[in-house]
Amino acid sequence: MLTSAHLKYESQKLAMNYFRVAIVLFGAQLLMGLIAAIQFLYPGFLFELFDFSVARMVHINALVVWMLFAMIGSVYYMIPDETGEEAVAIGLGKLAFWVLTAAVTVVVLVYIFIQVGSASETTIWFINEGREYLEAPRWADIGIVVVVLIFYWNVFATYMKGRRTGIMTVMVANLFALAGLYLCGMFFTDNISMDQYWWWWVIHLWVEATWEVFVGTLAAYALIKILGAKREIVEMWLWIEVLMLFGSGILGLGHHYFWIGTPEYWWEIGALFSALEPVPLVAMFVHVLYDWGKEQGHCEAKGNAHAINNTPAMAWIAANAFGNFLGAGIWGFFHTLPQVNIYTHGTQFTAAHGHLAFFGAYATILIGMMYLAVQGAYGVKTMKMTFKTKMSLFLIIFGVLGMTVALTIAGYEQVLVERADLGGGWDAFFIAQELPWYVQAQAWRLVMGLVTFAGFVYLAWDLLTIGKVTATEEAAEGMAAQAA
Amino acid sequence: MEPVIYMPQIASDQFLGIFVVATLVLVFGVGFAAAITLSKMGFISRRWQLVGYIFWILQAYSLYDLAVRIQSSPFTTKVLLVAMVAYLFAPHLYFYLIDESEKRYESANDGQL
Repeated sequence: MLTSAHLKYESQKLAMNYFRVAIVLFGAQLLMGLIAAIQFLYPGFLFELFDFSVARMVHINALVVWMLFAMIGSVYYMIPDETGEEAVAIGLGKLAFWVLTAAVTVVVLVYIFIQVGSASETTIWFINEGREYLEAPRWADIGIVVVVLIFYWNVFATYMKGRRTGIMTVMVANLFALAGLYLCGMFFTDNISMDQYWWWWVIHLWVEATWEVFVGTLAAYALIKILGAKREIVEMWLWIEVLMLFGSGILGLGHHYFWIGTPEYWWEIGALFSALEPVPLVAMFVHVLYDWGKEQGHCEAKGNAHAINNTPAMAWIAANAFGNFLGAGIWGFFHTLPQVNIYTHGTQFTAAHGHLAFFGAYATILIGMMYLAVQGAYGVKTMKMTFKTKMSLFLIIFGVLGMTVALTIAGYEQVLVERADLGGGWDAFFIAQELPWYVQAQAWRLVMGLVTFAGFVYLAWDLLTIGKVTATEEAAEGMAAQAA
Repeated sequence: MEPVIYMPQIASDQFLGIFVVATLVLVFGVGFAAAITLSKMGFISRRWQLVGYIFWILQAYSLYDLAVRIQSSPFTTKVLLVAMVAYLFAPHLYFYLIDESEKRYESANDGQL
């Protein structure tokens, strides 16, 4: 991760910069999560210095931003591979990277040190817009739009200039929707229902439509790159996944419109389309394993040991296939139907689903892409797992699964006590949070959060060292083969 | 005017069953897809497809049971079961498309970059 020496294209060198910032923000996200987790157990911790509301805000905003950095990095990395061309406006692209990084740094520092402002336009412009996940102040919002326009120009114009593969076609169309949807979170209305209505257009249509299609596109690219899977087959799968993801995901938006004051027909629409949302996740799961098995079979038939040329990346992509299904699929389906959601809405069930879905569906594949980029940056032919790779995989997956189970138990207790028994009132909210099931579950969540953080340390350490170690080993093997 | 509440009342002891059955819907669904996929790929014998169909029957029953437990309207229950019938054909449609693609691109070079 420390060098880009073997990369031929400036676009891919720029991708490495994006990945470096992404991994730093990932660490910041986890630290903020740990602070928030401690505050669940000890509400006095950092009280009036760094309140839970602020820690949680930085935690979820850092999550979104590190993922966007890694996504932009992934696209810059794949552009030359897919189109056969250097990004057309690479100079602008580099400028946009530094502008975005500087803006994000300023915004994070404002979140941490200024935190809140008066109920005025000034606060919206310079401190915090007050929209969950999209708290960036308006100046940064506009800056993000400009940076994304530059990024999108690079993607679109390079695509038009070079080879137009199916993967890039999906990517170009999907990024247009992804970038355009951000605009829905940039204006305010006087009506809270309307405000929430548009806000969900960003959040839901990102994470359950455009981001999922993005993941499908990355997985398709990675399968060709890592396994040598046949492009025609991979792209056919991708088109089917796109159809199913958009087919279920767009109107699946209805499950966020159950209780915000929108018309009642959203109950039926949300329920039906949400119920279909796991289907493409099964398809993606099957697709990855199918290609892996098929290419492995081809390799063995030719007498080769195995098909994978980057084991860490493949492990994270396999984790993505399973984690996406588990976190977004099972934990989402748990509580997506309105009859159940009326009891689970806003409990720790949502937090359990959020943690496993974001990790399983997005963090995993973006980490996989980082390993792919490191392989290219160090000019390594075959990258194998190190002890640190295995430790990071095990600790992060075990930690996030542990957090999810703990939060599910806390949410289940809330559903029974706060909602079903006590009717969901103000007192019920506090009574449910003082019972042992809830408190002990939160304690376990903190423990598992620490396990996850330990895994992150291994991950960062591995990303910094694996390229150099593997390149040195390969060079030594090459020299030994020459000497023989 | 008294507001009308359409949402069902669910008893406390019903929730665990609802969450378990909802999970089983997806677990059996993956079991069905896995059995069909692995047998089509030749990792397991074709007889295992029968096990896949048993998974599908269990999945369909679990979804029906879930719809009953959460007091879905008859229309929603019907739509969910129609979706289940569509899901029965989904893996076969996949592999039909894959087989056709393989035939079509047999002579094409591998997609190595």
